[in-house]
Amino acid sequence: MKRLLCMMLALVMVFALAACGKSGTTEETSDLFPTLDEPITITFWHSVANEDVLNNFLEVIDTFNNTVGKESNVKVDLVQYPSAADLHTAVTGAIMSNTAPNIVMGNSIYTVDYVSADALIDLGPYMNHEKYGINMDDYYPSWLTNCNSYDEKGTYFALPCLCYSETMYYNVDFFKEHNLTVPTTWKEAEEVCRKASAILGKGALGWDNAAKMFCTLVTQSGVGYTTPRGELLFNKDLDTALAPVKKYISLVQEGVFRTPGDSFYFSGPFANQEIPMYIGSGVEGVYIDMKIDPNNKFQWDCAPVPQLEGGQKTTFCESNLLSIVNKGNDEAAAKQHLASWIFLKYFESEEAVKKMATVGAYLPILKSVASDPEWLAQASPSQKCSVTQMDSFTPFYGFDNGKFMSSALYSDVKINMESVLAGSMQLQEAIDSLLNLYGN
Amino acid sequence: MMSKFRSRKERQPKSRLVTTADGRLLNRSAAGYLYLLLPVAFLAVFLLYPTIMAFRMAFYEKYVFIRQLGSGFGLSAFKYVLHDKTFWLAAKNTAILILVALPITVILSLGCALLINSIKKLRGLFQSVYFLPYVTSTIAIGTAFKWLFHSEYGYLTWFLNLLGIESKAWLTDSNLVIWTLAVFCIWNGLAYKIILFLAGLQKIDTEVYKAAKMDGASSFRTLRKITLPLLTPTTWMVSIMSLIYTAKTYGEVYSLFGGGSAGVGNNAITMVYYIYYQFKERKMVNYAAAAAILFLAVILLLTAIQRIVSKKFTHYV
Amino acid sequence: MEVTLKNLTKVFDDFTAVDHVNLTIPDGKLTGLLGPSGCGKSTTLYMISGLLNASEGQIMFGDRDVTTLPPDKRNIGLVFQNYALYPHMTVFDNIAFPLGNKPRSERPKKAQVKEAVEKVAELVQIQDLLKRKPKELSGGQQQRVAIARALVKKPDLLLLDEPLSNLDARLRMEMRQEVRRIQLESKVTTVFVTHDQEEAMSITDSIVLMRNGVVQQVAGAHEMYMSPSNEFVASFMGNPPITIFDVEVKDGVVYFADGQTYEFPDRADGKYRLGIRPEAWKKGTKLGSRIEHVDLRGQDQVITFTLGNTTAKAVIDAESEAMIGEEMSFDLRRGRCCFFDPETGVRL
Repeated sequence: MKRLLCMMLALVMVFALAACGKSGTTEETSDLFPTLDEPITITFWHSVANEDVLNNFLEVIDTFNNTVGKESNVKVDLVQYPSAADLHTAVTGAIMSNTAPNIVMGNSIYTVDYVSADALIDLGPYMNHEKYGINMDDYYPSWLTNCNSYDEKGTYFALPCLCYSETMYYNVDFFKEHNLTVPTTWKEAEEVCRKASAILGKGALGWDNAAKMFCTLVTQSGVGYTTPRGELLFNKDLDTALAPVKKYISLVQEGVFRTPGDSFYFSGPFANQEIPMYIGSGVEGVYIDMKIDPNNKFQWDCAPVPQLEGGQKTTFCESNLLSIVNKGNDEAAAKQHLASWIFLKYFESEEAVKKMATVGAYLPILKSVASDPEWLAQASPSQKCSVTQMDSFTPFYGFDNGKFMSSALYSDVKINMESVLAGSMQLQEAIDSLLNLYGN
Repeated sequence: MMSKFRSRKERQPKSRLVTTADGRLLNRSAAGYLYLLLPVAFLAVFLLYPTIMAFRMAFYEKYVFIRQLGSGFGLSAFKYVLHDKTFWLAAKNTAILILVALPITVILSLGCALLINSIKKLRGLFQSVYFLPYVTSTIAIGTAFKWLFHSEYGYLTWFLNLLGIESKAWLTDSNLVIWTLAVFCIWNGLAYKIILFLAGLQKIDTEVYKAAKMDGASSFRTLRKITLPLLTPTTWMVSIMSLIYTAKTYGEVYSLFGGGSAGVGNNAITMVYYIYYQFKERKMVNYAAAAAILFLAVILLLTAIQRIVSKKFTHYV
Repeated sequence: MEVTLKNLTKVFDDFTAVDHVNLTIPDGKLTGLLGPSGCGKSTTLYMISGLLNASEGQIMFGDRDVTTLPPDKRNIGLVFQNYALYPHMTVFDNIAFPLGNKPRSERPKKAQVKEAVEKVAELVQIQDLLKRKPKELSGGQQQRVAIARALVKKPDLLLLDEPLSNLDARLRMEMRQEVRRIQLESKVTTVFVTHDQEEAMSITDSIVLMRNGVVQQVAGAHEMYMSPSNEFVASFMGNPPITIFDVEVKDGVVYFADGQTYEFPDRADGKYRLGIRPEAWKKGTKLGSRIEHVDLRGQDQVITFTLGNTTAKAVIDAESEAMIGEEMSFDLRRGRCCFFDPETGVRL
């Protein structure tokens, strides 16, 4: 009897190991806008982690569920992931095992992956629909550039949500005390820093992310970093492109500028008043406020990133993108797509965008919100500053050009630039190595 | 009663007795194969299949990550890896860890084990304290080390300044990062080895020490001629396990330099980190597999050498 | 070298293992420390060796006080009960080990070491086993190696802790002769601990019998057997053991508890405990009993019977017919009987 039971148990466990089989196929349909007669629940996987942002985010979801969603029979369920990378890993796995959610949040490098797996739907028909469509003119063009750069046709595979850009933080008190003006060009920045570094004894300006330094400077030189579809631009005219980069590096080596070193990020040294200005991501404000010693407070503000005189006005930006996962071609899938779009439309509306941009970090993607006096009144320093620059934003394009992916290029640029700034590699060596791997 | 016996005997199937090579008598049983099926299936899916796939992937010419489609059969992945200077940097760093950090760790842990073994009163306390690194998450230790080694605010800097030595950029100077990693690996690896050595020491018959004392041996001579030779089986086991563990260093690099790059300019990259880097950051699975195959070959060679060497020097008693 | 113990005491927590022992171990002789388990003989041995510290008292080697001297400086050879050979070394290296431990200045050269090892190996008869490892040797061979290792440095004193207890009966007989032979040839002062009285009697020059940490008697084997100083010594020595009767003497006649009598003309009146050795009984007429058990031992017989309400054992020759249940009459050989004080146990 015992033996028999053991054998049954072993058999059951063996069969449990076998993966679930695929579900059967169903009929295809071409109607993208079926009626949603039954309530439908869609899953939204996101990686919003910051507490304040998350609170707003949850409020937006709640509002949707209780107003627009209720009317249209749509309910949104959230699943939170600790980071964008974790989310990407989970979505990749889910796509391959057919358990993907309806809406995913990600950066352009992740969206590239999903597009290449045919996992996202074309948002075009929905955007231009007479009933469900949205006003594309209200968007700042710079936020849209990496929503439709994934194929030759310019298909929209995503819409922007949480966006931010590089911005320069400076210590207002320090500048007042030493009678310095905030630089707007690199020439001015060099002058100001020569004076400031003499006072401080070390470099007076820094850039958190060495890759962003490179990309911004080669683009400001007029040559550019990459095309949206993954062709390298900076190697078309290396002398012009690298000139500002060489200058930056030499200023670091002279001690006029500096690198974050062991602190890895400048928010710490800036909060401790060891450096009077630095260039970092727009969301840094929260971290700076956290790190300032209450006994040693000072006033700080944001200014636009210095530009190259005579060059192209550029500041790099990044956005989180929302995409709708392809659930198939049948009627059930079409209903899910439509339900997802209804939510997405709400999330991209003025009301929701304004709410999401309320907490001091992310930027409004709609012109109407950015010019709204109510919003401007409560905007944070980095938001106020960035809003004035939105016309000259350049995004990081996500691509897979068949030879390499945008993430690989970015990663190697970062490693090489950090190495050059630390003095362990020559710039020419780094460029050679990059072009060796990525040059066409 | 008798009838019950008889019918049972009649019902028993023909003999399935098997004599094994060393003369034991065993019974062949179908249920046995069924019980085996589960672990064999598990091993096949999670061990055998990935290994075979890794070998196959190393020869792919082209690979699309998200669709998991590979095509082609050629040596281009190997060619790329062998020409990649980051690969050779990883090999060099791993070699430094094995040839420098590992012997230091073994010797230090042996010393600690000898010291702990010689005390009676607070032995339990010391054993627990020295075992702490093993039960602490590598990430947590890495975070602590990041602060210890900070060139301006770290405790190490403060301590060196006390001695009048100038502190260097331990975490960001590309020439020093590998040595910082080595120190971290040494510290992290002590705990496990100490416990193994303590176990080996306690296996030695205490009467032998008394005899050595009567024979006039000083404590140094006892250590050299009695303790260490009798410890050689443990030493061999520790070194072979540590060799393979050190060669697989990844967690320490990740926790000390925080993902992305392995130290400035990837200067603290190790072999396994290189494999992960190719696979995760650059999505070139065939390069990662090629590097893994090459790595496997080297480790097999090292293990074979170690076995031959140990046969000569290990005294099994 | 003569060893003197003065008031040597060892106390463990609240248990006194060795209680103020005064003893002289003569130079060049084989002395046995004999006694039942827990009598303190091993403790005394280890205190002499230096591996155990004395709680009180002094240990003198000749006229040197070595009580606080560490063991490696006492120039002693110690053979452990389980030999404690170095398992990873060959027999040669095991024996040579003590020579290598001498300070640099006194350390002998390789050739000298070889000579010394071979010499002592020949003494203990293991010269053919020098290349083997301990696990390839039998028990007796291992013991010889242990003795050789103890002797190679020409110690002033050789100590052996129950050297024969790990061997089987036949080997034990053979090895104790060997121990004696080695001791006589090397002329080293030797002390060995044992709980087997037959062993002690057969090879030692003198026996120190201990009980509960106190020395009962120090004497040669024959003397200890024939003239035990107290009841304990008498009953410890001899196999089969002596039989003790509670008797009363009146006018030179011993009255047994069951009324039987025997003449002991020189004995004073009073109550005694009378010890009668098994060989004291001979076929006779004066004392009678019924045989309860007969042990045939080949060379003789042991008869068990009851006399004076006490079970007694007698050894008689193998030829005499003795049947269980048979009535038998005995006479006594007075020289093999001892009288003990019923309270103190001391022989009178």
